Amino acid sequence: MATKTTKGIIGIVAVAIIILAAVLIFKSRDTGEIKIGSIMPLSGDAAAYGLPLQKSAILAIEEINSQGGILGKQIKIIFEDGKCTGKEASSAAQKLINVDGVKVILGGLCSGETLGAAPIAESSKVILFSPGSGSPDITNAGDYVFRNFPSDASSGSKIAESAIEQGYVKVGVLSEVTDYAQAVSRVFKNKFKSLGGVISTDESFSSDASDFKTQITKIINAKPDAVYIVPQTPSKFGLVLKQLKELGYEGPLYTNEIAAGKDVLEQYKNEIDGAILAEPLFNPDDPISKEFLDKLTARYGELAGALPPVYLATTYDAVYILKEAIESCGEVKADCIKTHLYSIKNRKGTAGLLTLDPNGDPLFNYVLKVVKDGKVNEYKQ
Amino acid sequence: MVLLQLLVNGIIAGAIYALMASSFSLIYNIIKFMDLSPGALFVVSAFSAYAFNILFGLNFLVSLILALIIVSILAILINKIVYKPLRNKNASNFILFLASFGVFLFITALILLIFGAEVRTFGLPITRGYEISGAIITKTQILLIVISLVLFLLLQLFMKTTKLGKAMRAIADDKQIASTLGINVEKTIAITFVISSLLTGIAGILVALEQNPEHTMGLSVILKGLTASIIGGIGNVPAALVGGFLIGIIENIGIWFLPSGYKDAIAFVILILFLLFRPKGLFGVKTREEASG
Amino acid sequence: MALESYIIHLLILIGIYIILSISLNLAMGFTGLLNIGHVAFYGIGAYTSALLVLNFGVPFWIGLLSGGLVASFFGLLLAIPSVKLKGDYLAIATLGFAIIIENIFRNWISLTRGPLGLPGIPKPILFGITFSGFSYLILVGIFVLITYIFIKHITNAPFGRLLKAIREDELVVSSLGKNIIKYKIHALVISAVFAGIAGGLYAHYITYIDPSSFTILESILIISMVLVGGLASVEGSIIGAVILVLLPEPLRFLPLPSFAIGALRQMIYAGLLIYLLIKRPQGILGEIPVEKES
Repeated sequence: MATKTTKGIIGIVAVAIIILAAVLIFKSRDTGEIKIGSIMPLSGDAAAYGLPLQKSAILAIEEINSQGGILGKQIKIIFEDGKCTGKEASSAAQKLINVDGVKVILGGLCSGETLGAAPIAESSKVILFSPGSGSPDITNAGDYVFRNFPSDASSGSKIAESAIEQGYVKVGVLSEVTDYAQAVSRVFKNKFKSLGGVISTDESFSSDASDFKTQITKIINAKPDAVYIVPQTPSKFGLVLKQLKELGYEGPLYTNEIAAGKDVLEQYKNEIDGAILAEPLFNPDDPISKEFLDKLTARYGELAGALPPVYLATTYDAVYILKEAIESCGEVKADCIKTHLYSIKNRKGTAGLLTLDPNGDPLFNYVLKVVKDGKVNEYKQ
Repeated sequence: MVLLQLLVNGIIAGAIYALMASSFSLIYNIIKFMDLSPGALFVVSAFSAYAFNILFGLNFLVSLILALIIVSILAILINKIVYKPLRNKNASNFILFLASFGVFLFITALILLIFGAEVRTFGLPITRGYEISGAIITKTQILLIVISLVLFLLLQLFMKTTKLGKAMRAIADDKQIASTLGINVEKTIAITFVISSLLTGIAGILVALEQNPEHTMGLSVILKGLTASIIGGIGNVPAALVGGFLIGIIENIGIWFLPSGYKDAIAFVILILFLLFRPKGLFGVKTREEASG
Repeated sequence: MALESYIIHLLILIGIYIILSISLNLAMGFTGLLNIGHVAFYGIGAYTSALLVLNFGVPFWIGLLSGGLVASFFGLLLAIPSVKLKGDYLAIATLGFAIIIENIFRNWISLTRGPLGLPGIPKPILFGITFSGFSYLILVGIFVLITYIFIKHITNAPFGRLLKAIREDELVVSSLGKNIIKYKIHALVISAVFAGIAGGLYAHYITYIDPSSFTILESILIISMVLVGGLASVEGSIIGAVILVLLPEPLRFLPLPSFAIGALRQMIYAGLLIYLLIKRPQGILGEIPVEKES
C-alpha cells in the first residue's frame, strides 16, 4: 500500500535522519572554540525568566570573547530549551554532553530542570552550574552540581521570623503551585508555626489561572494580621496585588523577591508599597552591580522587566566564574574545574560576595527588604 | 457576606465562560465538531488590542475594532485552510477536534514568539471596588458582566430575527435540506465563524482589561467554555449562558471547601458527571444527526 | 563514544513512546475508543512505581508491575464513560479525566510532592547490575518486544476482529449476543497496563518526575504518533513513534535565533500535525480512512 504520500513521508523521514546524522557528526568535531552548554526555559511561562537570563549570559560571553576569550579561544554557548521540566532538561543535557561534547553546563534555571539534568551531568562527569535554582533538593544532587543562587530554605524562614517579631500572630498564605513557591511556603509555614504563629488560611493558585478572587476572599474573611504571598510568575503576582486591593485588603503584606522585578514595581507601584520581602542579598547600588545592570540595559534596553535583578547578576557572574575556573585549570577539564569551584571563597561579583560550601551551594543569605515608592530598600525592624 | 462575594466572583467568571460557550456552541451547531480554536482567538484578540492601544498608542475603541477585525480574518482563514479541506474529506469529528488543537497550539506559540513573556497590563487604575451588601465588585467587572449579557441578547435577537440567523439555524438542523432550499452553506458557515470569533474576541479583550493579556490565557477558558456549552446543552446557544454562569459559580463556591489548587478540576468533574448522566445537558435537544451517531 | 550515548538516549525514548502508541492504538485504532486521557495511565504508572520504590524500597520489578496494575484500575474506570459516549464526546470525557489526574498529581502534595516532583528515583538494579545507558536500552527493548508480540497476537486473533467490529458498528455486534462492555473493558485495561509500564520505565530512566511530564500536550503527542502511523496498525504505531520522537531533533540544529527556539519549535510541530491531518488523516499504514459516519 505504498502510495505516493507514504513514499513521500518515508522519504522525508529518511532525509531527516540523514541530515540529523550528518549534523551530529559535524557538530562533534573540534572547532577550536570552547563550547559551553546552557539549559534554560526558552518557551512556556518560565520563558519570562529564561529569555532575559539568556541575554545576561550572552552579554557575559560577548564581553569575554571581545577580550580574547578563554585561554585564547572564543567561547561558544549552546542554548537548549529546558521548558522548565525535568524531562526536557534531561534530553537537553544528553544532547549537550553527547552531541556537542560540552564539559560545562550553565543551568538549569527552574529547579525541575536542574534536578532533571543533574543525574546525567553527574554520571558523565560534567559540571552543572545553576544560576537560579532554589530547591533544597539540589544541595545533594551531585558532586558536579553547583549553584550561585541560594536554597529557598532561608527565604520563608526569614519572613516567618519577621512576622513574629512584628507581633503578627495570624497570617494568611497565598502561594503559586510551582516547585519554588511551594518549597518556600512550606518552610515559612513550618517556621511560623514553630514560633507560635497560626496560619489562618493556606491558599494556592495555579500558574495558568488569573482569577484569585475566591482564594483572596477566603483569606480576608479569616481576618489575618498579615498576608504572605509567594508567587513565581511575575504577571500573576501583579494580578494578586490588584485583586487584593480591589477586594479591600489594606493590611501588611509579605512576599518574595518577585516583588523586586521592575515591571511589578512600576505597574503595581501603589499596591506593592510597604510590602516586606525576602530577597537573596543583592544591592543594586553596589558599584559593580550597578555597572553591570547599566551595561545590560544599554545593550538590551528595558530587559529586566519581570525579573528580580538578582537572577541577572547571578547568571552573569556564573559565566565569569566558569571562565575563571577554566582558566585556572588551563583546559576544560571537569574534575579540575570542580575542585576550583569548591574553593571559591569571598569572590566579588555583580551579585555580591560568593563563597561555595562543600555541597556546591552558595553561602548566601536572604535578607529582608521593604518596598517604598517603587524602590526596594533594606528593611530594619 | 462571604457567600455573596463568592457568588459575585462566580458571576464575573461565568460571564466570560458564557461568551466562550456561546461561541463554541455556535460552531458546534453548524459544523458538528468541537472547535478549540476560539481559545487561540481569545488570546490573539487580547494581544492585538494591547498592541494597538498600548504599543502603538491608538485610541482604545479603535484598537478594539482593529483587534476584532484581525480575529475575524483569522477565523475565516482557519476555516478555509484547515477545517474546510477536512470537512470535504469527510474527516471524523475527532480529527477535526485534533486539528483545532493543532491550530490552538500553533497560534498561541506565535503569540509568544511575537510578544515575548513579560508582564503586560492595560494600566487601568486599580481601586477598591464598590461594596454591595458585603460583596465587592469593581467597575471593570460590572462592565464585563453587562457587556456579556448585552452581547448575548444581541446574539439571540440576531439568530431569531435576521435572515442570516435563520439560515444558520436551518443548517444546524439539517444541512442537506438547507442547501436545497437555496442557502449558501459555505458562506453561512464562514459568517458563523466570524460571529463566533467576534464573541471570543470581545471576551478576550474584556478579560485582558481585567486580568492582563497573557499567552497562556486561552486553553483553560475554551475548555471551560466547552464544559459550559455541554452543561447547557451543546448547540443550544441560549443555554450556554446558564452553563457559563453555573460553572463560574460552582467553581468559586467549590474552592471554599476544597484546596484552591483544584479549581480547574472542579469544572471537569462537572463535565464528566454531565457526560455520564446527562449528556444532552440541562436544556439540550438532540438533533437528527446526533440521535443517529 | 559520546555520539552513541545520545543515540541510545533517543532510542530509549523511542522505545517508551512505541509502547505508549501501540497501547493507545489498541484502544483508539482497533476499538474506536478515542482516549485523550492515555497520558494519565502513563503518569499513574510512573508515579506509582516511583513512590513505591522511593518510599518503601520496593524492588524495581515490583514497582514497575504495580505501576501497570494501578494504571489498569483506571483503565477500568475509563471504561464506564466509554460505554455511553461516542466520538468526540468520549474524547472530551477522557480529556477531562486527564486534566483531573494531572491536577491531582500537582495538588496532592502530601502524596506526590506536587510541583516539587520526585527526584532521585533509583535506576533498576537486577542481579547486581545497575541498568543505565545501553543496558537500559536492552531493558526497554525487551518490553517493546513484549508489547508488540502481545498486542499483535491479540489483534490478529478473533478478539481483535471483535474489537474492530465494535468500532464499526456496536449495534450489530451486541445483537449477535456479544458483551460489548466486556470487550471495551479488556481493550482499555490492556491499553492502560502497557501505558503504566511505559510510565515506570520512564521514571526509572529520567530519575526525576513531576506533573509537567504528564500533560494534555503529551497526550496529543502520543495521539499524533498513532495517527501518523495509522489507526489499527501496530507497525504503524512504531513508525509513528519513531518519526515524532526524531522530528524535533533536527530542529535543535536549525539556525533559529535563540530567543525564538522554543516557540518556533511548537509552531513547526503543530503546523506539521495540521498538515498531516489534512493531507493524510489515515496515516502511513492505517487501514481505514477515518470517516465521519454520515
